[in-house]
Amino acid sequence: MAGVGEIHLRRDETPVLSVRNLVVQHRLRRRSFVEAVSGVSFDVLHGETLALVGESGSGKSSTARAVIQLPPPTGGEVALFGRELQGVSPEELRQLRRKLQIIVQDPVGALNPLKRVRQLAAEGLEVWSDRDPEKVDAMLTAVGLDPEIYAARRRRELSGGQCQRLCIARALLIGPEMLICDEPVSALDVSIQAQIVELLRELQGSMGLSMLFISHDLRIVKSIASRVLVLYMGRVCEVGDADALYSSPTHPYTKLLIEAVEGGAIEADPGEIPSALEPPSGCRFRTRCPAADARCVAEVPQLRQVGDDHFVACHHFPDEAR
Amino acid sequence: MASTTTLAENVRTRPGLAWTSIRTWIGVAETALGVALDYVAISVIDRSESAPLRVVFVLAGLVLARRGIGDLVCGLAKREVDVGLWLSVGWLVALVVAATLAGLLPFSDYIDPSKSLTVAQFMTPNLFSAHPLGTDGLSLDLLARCVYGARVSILTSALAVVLSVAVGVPIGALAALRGRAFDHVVNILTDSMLSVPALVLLIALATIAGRPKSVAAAVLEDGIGLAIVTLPTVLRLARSFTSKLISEEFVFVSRALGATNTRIVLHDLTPNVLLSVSSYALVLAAVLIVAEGSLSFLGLGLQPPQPTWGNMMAQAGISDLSLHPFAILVPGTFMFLTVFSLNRVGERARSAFAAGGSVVSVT
Repeated sequence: MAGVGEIHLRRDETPVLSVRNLVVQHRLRRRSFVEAVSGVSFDVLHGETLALVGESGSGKSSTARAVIQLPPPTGGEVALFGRELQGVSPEELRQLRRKLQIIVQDPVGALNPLKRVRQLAAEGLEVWSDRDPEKVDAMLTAVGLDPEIYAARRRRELSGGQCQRLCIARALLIGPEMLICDEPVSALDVSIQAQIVELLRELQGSMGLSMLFISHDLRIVKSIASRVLVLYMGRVCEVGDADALYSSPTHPYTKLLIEAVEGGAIEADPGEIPSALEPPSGCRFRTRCPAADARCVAEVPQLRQVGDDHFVACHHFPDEAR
Repeated sequence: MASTTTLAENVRTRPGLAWTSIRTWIGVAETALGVALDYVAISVIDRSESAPLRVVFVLAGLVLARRGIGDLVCGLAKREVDVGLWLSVGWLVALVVAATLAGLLPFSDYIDPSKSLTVAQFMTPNLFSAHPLGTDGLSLDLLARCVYGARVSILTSALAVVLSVAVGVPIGALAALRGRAFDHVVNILTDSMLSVPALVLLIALATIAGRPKSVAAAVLEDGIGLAIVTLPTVLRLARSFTSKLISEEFVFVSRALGATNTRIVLHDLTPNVLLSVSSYALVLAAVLIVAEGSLSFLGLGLQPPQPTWGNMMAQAGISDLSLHPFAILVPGTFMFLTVFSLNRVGERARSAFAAGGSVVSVT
């Protein structure tokens, strides 16, 4: 990519979530900041799951948090059902956010240690003055936590997977249309990961949710996402239909990620992500890219269409489309 | 299947059973020996024997008896029991109960020397006499004075803890939440309070307030003084707990769920901060009991003839330590056991909260 562009956005439908040219900067000290996200755009249609994929430091979590406006992004627009989230009053934002819930990476830390399972599950409902114990118990059962066994437990009496089930129940109880999953399984045992992903997929189907699924693990993404967006240092590398992306990865970074998962020989990976304080000019991936040349130093690559629903931001790949 | 289980259980428990019953008897023997040693040292040996030697015997007896009780309880319970913790709890409960009911207990006179004219001065402890722990220089009963003195110590430190928590936690939490200017001001104030030596501050306060004559006045005056001294510490604790809490993931999720600031403060911050701070309350109380003792030792607390542990030790006098060690050792032991127990129980409470209940802790 590490490029920019909006060519991949679909204009024929109103997306559930639409993100345009998102920029997130984290202030370090006075006048110095890191740009975690630099002009990322994407949209999520009804019932669709878009996966954001990338290494740590690629700006995935910053994107997730900027989408729910906690904290709000430095620049760009986020719209929910075509309704802009910027510039609305805090109270309005609170109301809008009800349709937009998040599942975080650390399921244990996401639970108040002093509350018990049933109280925790009902937290969201309480906020919206809806006290319906039957609803809570039904949802707990739906995520696989039998209320009769677990209702009175605190978080330290639950496993990581059970905590995540509880977080999912709590988020879904207030009836969101869009669920953001920020590395929802990366803190869990591998054996539990598949169960949680399966649960999310089932619930998505039965509740008609749209999802933004963030992960660094392509294997997990493969099992849940219909579209994938590959991020590198806060910019888009490649985006498109999941099958197209897996069958014909085009961007060198995507290839690298897929090779890493398949355990094949990694041709050339000279090192780690450069410092986010001074990102490389032009294409940000060029310092690790085998094909990098002078053009990659000078120009930020634009997203180009390479397939039906498949877009790449690279000066060199695919070769024929220069 | 059932028979295999029984067999396995037998193999595992049999040596244990033998050891626990042996241990019980060892415990009984140790306890008996310890108590006997103490009795001989305190009440039987001729008074002309050297006092330091008797003190050594008393201590050896106590240690032996403590070991014995430990073995006895563990042997009977057939598992490891933290006997020290329960003895500490027992001491604290007994002390509080005795101090509360002191007026109803059959004590000899503790405050009016004119009523004890016929009693000998500096009697050594004799557990089966009218003065189980002996008398002081005015022939007043040491046990009774120590129990009445406990009232002052307990109430003063409790008041100081409650006051400093009640004032320090809201201010500290607010400093963490509001940040910026408010935090800055609070920081400067706590820094300046911490830079004044505590004792100098207390002496100044006592000079302004005058020397308390009644128990109530002493508790109020010293309690407020000590609360001022501990305030910066509690404030800092609350501030750091709160600032750790607000970066916790569950606060973030609460906000995402739509919780208002009020709800976050009431549901997420207050209970967790209070729990973490209160797990320090007992340890803090232990420090304050020593501080109260120092104040009255220096003559700044409750005035004699009203007893406090501090002024009893001051009255007995360092110079008489070798002649009449019990007059200073008895109140000293009361203070030692109380502070030790509070620390023991407080440390346990703190680690229990750190392990399970609370998010933030200083380890």
